[in-house]
Amino acid sequence: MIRRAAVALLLVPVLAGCGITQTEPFYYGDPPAMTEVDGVRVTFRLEGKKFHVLRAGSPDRSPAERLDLLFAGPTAAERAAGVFTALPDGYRIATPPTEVRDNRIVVEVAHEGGVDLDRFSDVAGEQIACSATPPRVARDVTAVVRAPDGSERGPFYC
Amino acid sequence: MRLGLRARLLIAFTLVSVFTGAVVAAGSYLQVRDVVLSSAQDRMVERLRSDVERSAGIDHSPSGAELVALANRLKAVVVFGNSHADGNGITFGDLPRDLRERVRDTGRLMVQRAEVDGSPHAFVGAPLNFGRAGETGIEVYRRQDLGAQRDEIAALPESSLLLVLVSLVPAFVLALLAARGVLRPVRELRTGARRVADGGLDTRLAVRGSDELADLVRTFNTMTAELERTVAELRRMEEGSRRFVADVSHELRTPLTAMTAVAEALDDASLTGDAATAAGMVSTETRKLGTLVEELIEISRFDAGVAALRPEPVDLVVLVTGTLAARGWTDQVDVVAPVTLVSEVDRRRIDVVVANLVGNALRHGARPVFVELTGTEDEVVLVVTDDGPGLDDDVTPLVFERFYKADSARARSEGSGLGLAIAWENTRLHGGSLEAGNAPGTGARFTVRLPRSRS
Repeated sequence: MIRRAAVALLLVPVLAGCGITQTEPFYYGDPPAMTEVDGVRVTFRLEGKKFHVLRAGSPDRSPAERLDLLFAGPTAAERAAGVFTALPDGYRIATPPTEVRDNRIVVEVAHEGGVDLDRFSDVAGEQIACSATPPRVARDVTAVVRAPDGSERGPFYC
Repeated sequence: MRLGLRARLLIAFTLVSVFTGAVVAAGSYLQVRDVVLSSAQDRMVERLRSDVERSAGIDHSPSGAELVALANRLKAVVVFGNSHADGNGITFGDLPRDLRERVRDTGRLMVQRAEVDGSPHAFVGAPLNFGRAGETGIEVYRRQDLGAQRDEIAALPESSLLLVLVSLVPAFVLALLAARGVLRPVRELRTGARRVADGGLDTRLAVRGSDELADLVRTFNTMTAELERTVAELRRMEEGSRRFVADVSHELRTPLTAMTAVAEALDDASLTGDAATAAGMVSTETRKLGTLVEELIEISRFDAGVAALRPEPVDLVVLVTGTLAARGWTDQVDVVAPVTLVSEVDRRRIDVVVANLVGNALRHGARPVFVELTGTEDEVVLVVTDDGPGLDDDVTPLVFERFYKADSARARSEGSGLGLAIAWENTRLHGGSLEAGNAPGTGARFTVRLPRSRS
């Protein structure tokens, strides 16, 4: 009886682990990087999540230039891939350049028909905060949207 | 089924060896499998990494055509958002959905093993980062067939089995050696114990080593030594008591002879009254004492081993009738016998046997007493039966003991208490047997069997 149990105990792991087992996806290291190429990261949305894309240019561009790219919206190729923006239509940056101070950026926006800050949702704010953040910084930038009359909405986080 | 020690040792060694081999084989199987798989996965990931890092990228979100070009250049499925391009023979549809979701969610390089069309594959997926810029939103996926690895792994149990089988040979040899080491002292002990059982109390075994078996041998030696000493002591004591009885009997003989003569003279003297009664009692008791001493001397001879047989051809029918006549029992005993029955016996001793058995039957049994003589080619059988109450079952094995009395209340009987013992010794001296029992429907039955030839 004991002998039979011992054999069974021995066989169970062997039989259970025989051959090549299927697995869940498992972590295998950092992603590869094309070192020769640089670009500017801009954050849009894809399938309900934020989605970073790359634009030609130096990664050291100022936050204002990055935000210009964001307010310009996704390119045709990006739109074709399902990428969209959550920023409201027709808004532009009112007074460039905008500077980052104490990790915080204030973006003053303008619109032909008057500014309605309520149209800037949390995900839109997230896009602004992420796009304003330079690559490889310790802390993400906090973004605040300001209307010409001085009212503000935010802060938003990446 | 009972197995010998050797077989059990062999089986135990074999089982241990198989068990150990199986455990080791299972362990090494799992390890080797992991090594084979991870080396294949390492190669796949490293190739992807180096291909991507050496490749010229694009610095903006790719259009459909650019995505196809990138897929061809990287020989991989390339995904950007909801767009994708196939490359290197695999299609977007082949990719496990889990893998794509995890790559997009974590932004890390992930590997997953999955089956495609029943054969194992490893998939690798990673987001594509461009230098300092970071994420690009582009993901690349590759696939590797693990068929070769599967075959390699499948061959492992076979080689493990072969190794286990090969390792059985030395295990078997070791088991044989161990069994021999254990079995030799055991076998010696068995032989020694048999010698002791056959009476060889001087048997001693050589003690080798200092293990449990050596302890056992030492104990065995101590035991036989003690046994030998005790038996010698008992023999010496028994010898002493026998010699004492023999000496006392001899010493009594001379005065008894004188007393017997005096008693007979008194018997013959014409005494009257109380004196005549007393003289009669003295005479009777002196005769009994004389018989007892004679029988004691006889028993002493048997004990001392000096009783000698003087065989001669004797007609047993004549001998038996003569015995009965000499003691005046002819009228009280019925003899059933052939006309003649000649056998080689010691006349005097058989006379004693017949007289003791018949006398016993007449004293303790009831008449009629039968003496039956029969002969076959091999033996002569003499049966004495009486019509008394017979022997109790618990008495039967004891009747040939010296001074044994079936009825203890009757402390003093007419017999000396040695008659049956002497009859038994005499029969034994002839190489025959004397058995006591009960005849069906009648009283006690004593059967004497004497071999016809003296070999």
